[in-house]
This record gives sequence, structure tokens and C-alpha cells, in this order.
Amino acid sequence: MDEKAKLVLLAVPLAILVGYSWAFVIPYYSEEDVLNRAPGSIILGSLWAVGITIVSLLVCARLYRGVKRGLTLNDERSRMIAVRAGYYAFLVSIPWWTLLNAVVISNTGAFGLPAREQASEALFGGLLALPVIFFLVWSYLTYRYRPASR
Amino acid sequence: MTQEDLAKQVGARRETILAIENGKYYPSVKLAHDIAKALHTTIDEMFVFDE
Repeated sequence: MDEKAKLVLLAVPLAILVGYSWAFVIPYYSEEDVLNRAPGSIILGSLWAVGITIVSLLVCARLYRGVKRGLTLNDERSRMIAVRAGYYAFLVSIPWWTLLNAVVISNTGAFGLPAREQASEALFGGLLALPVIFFLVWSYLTYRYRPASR
Repeated sequence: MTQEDLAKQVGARRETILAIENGKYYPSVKLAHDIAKALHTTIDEMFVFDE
């Protein structure tokens, strides 16, 4: 596959993630007195949106510069790291989903949370965390990876 | 030859060449062969394997 096509395949989900993050935050700003009513949500949501935008732009720009110079986007090592990162990210995400299920979906007023089902929020939080977990695991493996035989 | 030139020649990422140089990654036989060919040497001369 052409390297530029691969870059587009990577950029599209990143753009969706960035757009989705901003779409989650922007409606808060249209509400009056939102900083007093939901300061945590708006601050964390804004930080997340800004952070994911910056990271996405940096990653895409760096990869684009490489492709422009004739370098490949992925090779045997990066493919192996991606496969391993997916495997470890899946394992790491299990406790995250379990925690969401225990605290958010079926909460009974514990931890000061309202005692009602919040399945959509939990699903949103879970899905949003998956790329973050994958990115963290992938970053760790990229910079610390050593062959299993060592 | 720079790491980037070598990476271009063998179709690998520059980070992979760097990792091989630092002993953090053992390449496949195919990549090792391609690198040896690009550097006009042999796999035996390039890589030292501990017994």
C-alpha cells in the first residue's frame, strides 16, 4: 500500500477522535454558569481535547515529514510493537472496563456519584480511554522494547 | 551513509536502524540480509551473536 494512503488511514481515525473530543466539550461552553456547575467536567474535557489535538497534530506532522523524505511508515519492528501493544492494551483495558462497570453503570450512590445508571457516559469514557491506553502501552513498548530472548 | 539513507534503502524506519545499532532489536533474517547487502558486507561480519 502507498505510504500516503497509510498516513491517511492513520489520520482519519485521529481526526474523528479529535473532533469527537471537541464535540463533547463545546456544548458545555454554550451553557450559562457552567464553570460553577460542572468545573471538573469542563476543565478535564478541555484539557483532554487540547491534549489529543496537539498529540495528533505532532504525530501526523512527524510521520508526514518522514513519508515526504521517502521513509516508510511501518516496518517489521513497528508492526510487531503494534501487535504487542494491542495485546497488552486489551489486558490493561479489562480492569478499566471493570472499574467503569462497578462504579458508574451499577453505582448505588457510592463515592458521591448520583445513584442512577449512566451507561452512555460509561461507554463514552470507556471508548475514549481505549486509544489512550493503547497509545501509552505503544509508547512504552516503542522506547523500552527489547527482544524476548534477552 | 546515514541511518536515514540506510533505512530508505532497506525499507525500514530510522528508529529500527537505531534500535538494531543499539542492540535493542534483532532484525529478521530478511532485514539483516538487506542491511548487509546495502552496506556491502555479510550478516556474519555485521552481527556478533553470543554463544
